[in-house]
Amino acid sequence: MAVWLFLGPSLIGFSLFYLIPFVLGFYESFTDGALGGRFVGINNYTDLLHSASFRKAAGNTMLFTAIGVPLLIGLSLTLAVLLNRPLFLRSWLRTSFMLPLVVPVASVVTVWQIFFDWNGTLNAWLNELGLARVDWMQSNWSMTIVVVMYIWKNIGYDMILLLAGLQSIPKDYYETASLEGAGRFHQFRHITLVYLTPTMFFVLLISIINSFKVFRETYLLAGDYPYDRLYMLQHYMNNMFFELDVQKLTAAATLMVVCIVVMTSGLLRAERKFREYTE
Amino acid sequence: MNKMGLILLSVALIVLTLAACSNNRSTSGSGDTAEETGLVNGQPGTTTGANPGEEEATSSSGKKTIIFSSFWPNEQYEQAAKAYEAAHPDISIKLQYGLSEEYSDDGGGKQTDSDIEKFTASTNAAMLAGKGPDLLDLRYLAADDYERHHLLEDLQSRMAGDKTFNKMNYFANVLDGGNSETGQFSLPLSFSLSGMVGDKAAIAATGVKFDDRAWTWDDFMTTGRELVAAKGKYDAAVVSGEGYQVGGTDYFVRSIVADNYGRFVDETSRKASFDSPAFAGLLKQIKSMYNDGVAGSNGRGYFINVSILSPEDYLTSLHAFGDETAFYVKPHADEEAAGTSFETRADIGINANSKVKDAAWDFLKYLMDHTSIGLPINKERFHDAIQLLKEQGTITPPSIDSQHSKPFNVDGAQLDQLEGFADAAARKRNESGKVLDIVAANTDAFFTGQKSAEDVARLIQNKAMTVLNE
Repeated sequence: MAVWLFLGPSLIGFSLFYLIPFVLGFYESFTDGALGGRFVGINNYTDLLHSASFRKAAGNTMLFTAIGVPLLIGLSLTLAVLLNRPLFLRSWLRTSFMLPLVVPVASVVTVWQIFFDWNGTLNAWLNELGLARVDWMQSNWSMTIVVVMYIWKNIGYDMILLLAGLQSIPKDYYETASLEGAGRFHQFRHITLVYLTPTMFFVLLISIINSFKVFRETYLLAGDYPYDRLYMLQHYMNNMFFELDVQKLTAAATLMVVCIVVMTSGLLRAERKFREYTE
Repeated sequence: MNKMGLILLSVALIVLTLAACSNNRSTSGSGDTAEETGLVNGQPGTTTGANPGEEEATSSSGKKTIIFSSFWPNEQYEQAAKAYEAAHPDISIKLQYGLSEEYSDDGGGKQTDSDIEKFTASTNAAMLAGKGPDLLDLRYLAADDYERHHLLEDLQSRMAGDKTFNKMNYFANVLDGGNSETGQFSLPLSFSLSGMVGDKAAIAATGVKFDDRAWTWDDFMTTGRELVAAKGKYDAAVVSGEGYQVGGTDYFVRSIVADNYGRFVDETSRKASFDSPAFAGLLKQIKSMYNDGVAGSNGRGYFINVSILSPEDYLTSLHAFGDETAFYVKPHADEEAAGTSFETRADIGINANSKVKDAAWDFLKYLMDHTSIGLPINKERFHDAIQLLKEQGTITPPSIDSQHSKPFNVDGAQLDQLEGFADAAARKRNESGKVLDIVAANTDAFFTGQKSAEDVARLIQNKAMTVLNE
């Protein structure tokens, strides 16, 4: 009884601002015309899947997650392992990796824009080196830039999470292992990685969710119609919103939520399995 | 006891949050219901006795209320509404304006921008919810989106089915300009003509001959080169930009692509063909206009692009650019019909969800016949406006930069030609749209010599297809 009373406020807030609007949107995705139209079944979904731009957006978003997340986790794990041992200026380095998290994106984006513009800094450097310039934002390179930006923005956060995970691994495991004659690599593979797995699941989940949020940076960097390699799901939804196309907007949102739910529940299941296995 | 206290405490907390929530909602609600608060009712005295709370289509006395919404307050709308009400006692017309305070040149701009934003947001929301005004002046509103979502009444069938509506009373080409395959969803009360004012005397001095009623862009380039080669009064044939406003290099691209929109974008099959050699060729052609000096980027040329907004504006433009000037028709693309290009203004649409559509249609017809805004769509009103100007005798042009301008005499012969240009109106310009924005934004790199025409064309194609495939 008391449990519900305490949960109440946050539940009400959650329903009011997330759940109820989403359910309404879910209903809208099956109707036609303006708000409160006729029921048309899955018509909006077939329309949506026929839209080449939607397919491109979905493909780009998936590609971005598939490239960005593994890279991010790999790099932040490397950093975490490096910073977990005594190192010159260690605390300063840790802080500096956290900085991108607190800097407002909008202010950084301007610098990135100037840097990667056709007439920007990077191309000026290339020119001085006698190389041909590259249109970074208007070619397939654009995805790479956003991946770099995503890693830069999120590496500090992931690193802190992984560092906490690393420090919770008991030191005697390593001591025992080295007494038994296990090498550095062996220790990393059979102790660090194994005991870090629960943290890893969490980091993976957060990174995937953050990769969906990269729209903000992309939008600020390249506007509502960027080069098609950068055209993400949220671009599509944003543009549909401005075109008053509630149907496609809600259908796209529903599909995206379904994908995220399937992915996260799969991850959570895997984590549970893993825990049962280790216990 | 302790448990009881806890429960009480949490109930109090919930009530508090809820109260905060609802309070919050009521304050932020002013943004949501801007439909009511953001719009200023037309002068209460001139509109009928309908009180603001009365939103029903028919009030208790059986009177029908037409709500007519427009962003800019308009004297003509007010007068037409008053006259219409007098003639139809069972109808009352309520004017709603998006502008919240009187427009002023100094500092009014910011307020206007936020008013426009509020106006479009609230009208969009109301229209999507199946409510909204019965009649709309579509300025600033996304008419295409409304049309696509069937929020506007098809006026094609209205026009066809109404025996009292005679197309011959109007400039037919302009009227049909908004016609698409699915129907016609707005009717203009007024239009503007775009063309060029040329220095007739200077052109005659060079001895170059041309037929502006039929010329294509290719003809224009040839004529331009001849004019430049004649080394007459001016260095360039035409200067980019419109009127006194000097435009960038993207002016001609935008303008020519707007005139040839159908050639590069197939709206029905949602295909763009900017990657065709034709588009890269067009880009190169425009660039050569600059290189050959046919198009200048500053100073003056033999021709100046202008938009004629009214008979008065027509004479003022002619007067402003020299003593002996004439209006010339803009060049057109090869496969298009020759004629003056025009843009519709004061486009009015009827809300498809309105409960008083018949009355709104009747009032719309009345507006078309009884308003005289700019160049009126109604031929009789057009003629009246010209007559009125002739009787007036002189025009005092608006002062520019506090420079006092002298009144000049109305040239009746020039005015008579205007009607001919209006009759020849053939091509509707569509200067807005995402694809055109993309074209204009990406061609700069080509004109500054940084990218090849083919690269730019490929990039435009890439982005245009994303827009079209949505």
